[in-house]
Amino acid sequence: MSDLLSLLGLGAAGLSAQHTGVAVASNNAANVNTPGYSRQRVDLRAELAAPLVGGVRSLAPERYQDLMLASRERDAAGTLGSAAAQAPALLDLEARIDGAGESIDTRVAALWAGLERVSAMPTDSLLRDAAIAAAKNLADGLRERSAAVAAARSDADARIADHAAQATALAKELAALNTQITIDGDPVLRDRRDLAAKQLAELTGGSGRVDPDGRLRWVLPDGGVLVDGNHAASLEATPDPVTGYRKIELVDGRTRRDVTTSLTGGRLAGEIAFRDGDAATAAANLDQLAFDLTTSVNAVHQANAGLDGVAGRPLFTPLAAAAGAATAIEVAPAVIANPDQLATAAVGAGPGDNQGALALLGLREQRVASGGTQTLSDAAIDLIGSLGRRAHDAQAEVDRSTIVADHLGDLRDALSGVDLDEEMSNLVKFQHGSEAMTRFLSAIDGMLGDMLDRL
Amino acid sequence: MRITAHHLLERSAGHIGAAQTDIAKLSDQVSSGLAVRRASDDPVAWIQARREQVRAAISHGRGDAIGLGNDQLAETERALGTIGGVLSEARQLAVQAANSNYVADDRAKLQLQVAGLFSVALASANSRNSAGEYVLAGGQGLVAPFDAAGAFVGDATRRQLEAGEGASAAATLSGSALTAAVAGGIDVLPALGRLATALGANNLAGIQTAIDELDQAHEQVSQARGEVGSMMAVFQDADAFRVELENTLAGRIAALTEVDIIDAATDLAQRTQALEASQTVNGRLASLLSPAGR
Repeated sequence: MSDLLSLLGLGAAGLSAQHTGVAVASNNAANVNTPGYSRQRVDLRAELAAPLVGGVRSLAPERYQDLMLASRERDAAGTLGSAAAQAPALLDLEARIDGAGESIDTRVAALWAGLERVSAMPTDSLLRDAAIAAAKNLADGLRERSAAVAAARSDADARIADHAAQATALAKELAALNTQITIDGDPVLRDRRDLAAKQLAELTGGSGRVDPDGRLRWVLPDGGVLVDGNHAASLEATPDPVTGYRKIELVDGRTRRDVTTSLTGGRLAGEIAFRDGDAATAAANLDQLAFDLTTSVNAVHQANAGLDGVAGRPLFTPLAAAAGAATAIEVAPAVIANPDQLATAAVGAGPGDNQGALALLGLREQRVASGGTQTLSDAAIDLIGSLGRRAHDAQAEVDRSTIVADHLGDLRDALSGVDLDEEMSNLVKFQHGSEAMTRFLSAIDGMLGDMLDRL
Repeated sequence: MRITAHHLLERSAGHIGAAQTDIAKLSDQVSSGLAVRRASDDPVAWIQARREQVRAAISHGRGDAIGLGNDQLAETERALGTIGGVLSEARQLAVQAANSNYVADDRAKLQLQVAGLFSVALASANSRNSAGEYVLAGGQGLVAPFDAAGAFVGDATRRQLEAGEGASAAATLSGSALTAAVAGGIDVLPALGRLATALGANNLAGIQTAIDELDQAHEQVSQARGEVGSMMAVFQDADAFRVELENTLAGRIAALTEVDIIDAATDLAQRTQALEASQTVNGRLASLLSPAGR
């Protein structure tokens, strides 16, 4: 009697184990398209035959995972995030500087062409007006580009603030998931945590490590801890009075630390590299070009005379320093008001002389820009060219990083992805197991009935 | 490697996306005719093309300057031609006046004609270009280079113009070419004045001297015209070279930035086929993996 009752227990345990298998397979199939979902498996353990009758027991569902692969995925996400932030920003800046209206190098060439025409007929007021208009057009172009670069940097600054807020929210989510995982070991929580960690990596770079207590710890590249167990610090974008843009601070309680320059991966680092690197360089190059143009042209212009025979007047309003030159450059108002002041003649040579115009034209071939290493035209071309080269490289980096991330995604999918065929097969397998156990229970039930009838 | 259905579909979708991106880029290139529109497309080609474009723009400006210089030289040549013609006519009148049959009254009438010719020559010597600049004034372009007596009051400055990259040439002739400042030359316009004076004074010896001076002046003007002609020839050659240079630059720019239509069209056809193949594979996968397809 007691043996038959034991067999009933065996049947019940077996039925339960098969049902667990059906449930896990169904759950896997249901989550076939869920981002970040790792397929689960049910481990069945055979019970010892003695002293009882044996049987089977299902353990808690386990997720297929590879911690090393997850770590590599996060690293790849950080690299991709940085490149993916920089590439479009650089392309946008390139379009802002070179795509709108006449390019700077075209305007420089137009100034030389205008002066060349004036050199042929220095007293022609229309040609003088045109040359001054070309100089004004160039100054306007430099100011417009300077404003465009500043706008691009401001846009990046706003994105940095958004990313910092998102990173803080994700850090809090990670801490909350750490807490839940210690209470409830549901594999789905770990999936959610992995997904959040990957998103955080894409934003901030850094590295995540699962501690022996099962909680994920997130460390920024400079060693700053963003998430530690159930506690999350925050990343705050606060105005920096020195640069005029936002800096990123790691805030943990009362402790604040500037991590702006130490972020090396993720979208935040990419945006910061763009704002403080490429865009800042473009702004500085524009300033230097405007300053070199003003300084060199004025030096020649002041050494020559206008139609009235007077020398010593600048063509561009003099600038004190390269910093901010591209926003301040302008043709001297006196020259615009009186084109006769355009210095086209040598001092004392008379208004029909063109030596002043030729001297200005001589600047065309002189290396007066970029510390005496480039002509003004080459500096203007190089300004866009170097930006284009950076955009090209950043796009190539996006492509490379995407390939790596895709490959790691494939590896993860191969390990943890759900295959419907496989799950259908498991479903059938466990369904048959369940049917067998049901029949087994029916047989035991029949035997027990017979025995009871004979009593 | 374990391949899941999700993996297969992702791969297939990725191939379709890549093929669509390629087709969009190639279509853009074929329709615009440009393979390099931004520096980021091909930084090296873009920089080279921009440098050539700047050279072309500068060359274009030089062409305008050469054109203006040539106009100025043509105006100078016309003025000198008129002065040369006046000198020939004046010499004929002088030879006529040197005839012993002529009396003082006849010579006085010829004096009036010579005075008229002097006015024509003076006006030509003080002729202006389209900008109102005196063409023979040297550096003093806004002041008439010859006074009422035909004396030169300008300067000897000759404007130089760029004839090519790194090359320049004189583009104006100063009125000093019509003065005694020229080696072996005389003051051309005053020679007409002296003939008129000799005619008015019925001075036969003076008329004979004037004939010699007019011969010399005519020779001097011819030399000046020859010089102007040489300058014009230099600039015409420079302009022809400039046009050739600009054509060469346009060719280089096109080679650097424009798309090879045949290559691009072939590539486009291949990518289109690849897209169609990817779409077909994707469709097959979808039907294989859908419950109805099982």
